Amino acid sequence: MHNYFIKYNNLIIWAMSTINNTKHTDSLDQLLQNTYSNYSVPEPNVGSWLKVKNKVAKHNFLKFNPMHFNVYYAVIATIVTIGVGVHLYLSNENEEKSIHNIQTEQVLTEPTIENTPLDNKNPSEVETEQLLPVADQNKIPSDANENANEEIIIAEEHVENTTHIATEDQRMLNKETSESEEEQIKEDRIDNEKPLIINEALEETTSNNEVTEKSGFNNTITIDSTEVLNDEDKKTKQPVIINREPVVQTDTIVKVIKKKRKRRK
Amino acid sequence: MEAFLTQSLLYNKIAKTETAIIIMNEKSLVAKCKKQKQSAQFEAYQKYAPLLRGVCCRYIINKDEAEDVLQEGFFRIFTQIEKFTYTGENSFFYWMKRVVINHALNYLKKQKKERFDESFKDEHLFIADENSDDIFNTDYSKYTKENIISAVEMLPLPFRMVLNMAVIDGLKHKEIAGALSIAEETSRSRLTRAKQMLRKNLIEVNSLVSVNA
Repeated sequence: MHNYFIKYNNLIIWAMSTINNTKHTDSLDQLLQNTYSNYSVPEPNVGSWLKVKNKVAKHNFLKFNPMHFNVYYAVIATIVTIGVGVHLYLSNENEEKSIHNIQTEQVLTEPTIENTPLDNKNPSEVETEQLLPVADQNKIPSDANENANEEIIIAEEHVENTTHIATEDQRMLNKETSESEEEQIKEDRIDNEKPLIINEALEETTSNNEVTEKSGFNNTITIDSTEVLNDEDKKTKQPVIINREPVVQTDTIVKVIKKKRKRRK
Repeated sequence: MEAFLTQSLLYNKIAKTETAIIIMNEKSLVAKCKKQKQSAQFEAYQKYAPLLRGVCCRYIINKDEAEDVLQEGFFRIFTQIEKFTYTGENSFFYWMKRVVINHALNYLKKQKKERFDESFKDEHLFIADENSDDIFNTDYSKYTKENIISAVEMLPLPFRMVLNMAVIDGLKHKEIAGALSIAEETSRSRLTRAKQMLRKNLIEVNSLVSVNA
């Protein structure tokens, strides 16, 4: 009986100790719960809410929300504004261009006297330029023009030379007339017949040259060469002007006259 | 007698209306916060920030770190509030508390891994004191609130975390094990040892206070 009592006594002590332990732990838990139930710490920094607010606002701005203004709306708004701006700028530029083109067309279609390069030219030059379209209408080939120009240049040189020679010949003729009256009469006859003879001579000289016919030159003594231009002169639109005085190739004419005389004799 | 009954009925009515106002306020506050209204967010911050700061300070002793964790916690609360559904009184606060605790645990896992390892070394030191007689002969009524808080803050981090989660926040060992990525047995053992260490700390704090007095 005593042994049983000792055994049960130990069990009761163990049971009491465990109960006591649980009571202590429960009291500790309660103590902790009571201390931390409404445990609050005041705000140390004033700007903590501002940090949270800015962070949330930034997040909301970057996130799409149909009810709030965000980055997607901002991008769309910027794209639209840029597009409208570019469109308006381009339309204004096109309008300016069109106005400028209309003005330039008006200027081109209605040329004034001031714009023409004929102001500082002589009347003869103006006449030559006015004759240019006639040459274009005849459609002179480029080779023919070149040949004609060569001929004209030669003629020019001859004119320069022959003016001196003609004067000398006249002097000589005057001397001859003084020597004999008969010869003077003959010379007078020859002088009267000069145009016809010269025409015949020119026909002979220019028979092989088709250029004169194509270029519209008359088979007269006066050679109007102003219609023919060099290439370089065409570019600059300043035609070579040759004196419109009658060109007389005295050497050739005299030779021809002598031949005619011989034939007649 | 009649006067007493009328007074009691009046107090009951007032109490009911107050609770109703609180519930309505909380519900409307949640609805406004869901619409991302800044005024509502500011109201929620002013109302719950001190309590949630206290929660953070239980897990993280450094006040600056605790403040950072609180700010990040509020950011998560306001950005993830669409996931919350209002179920009843204080449900919003408990949800916010849970969000802040989870963030604090993640923060500690990432930033304070070294502290975890150091505190584990000290785990065996308290096993010898398990059967001391002073444990069961303590009178907790003589300890002030400040003494208790300082005694808790003296605990090593893994033990303090388990004690906070299990005793103060009322989480089960399964949840604690999942949150701290440890076994349930480890959680239980840490809790018992945390309590032993706390008792010892309380005695030490009490002796220090009595000596100073």
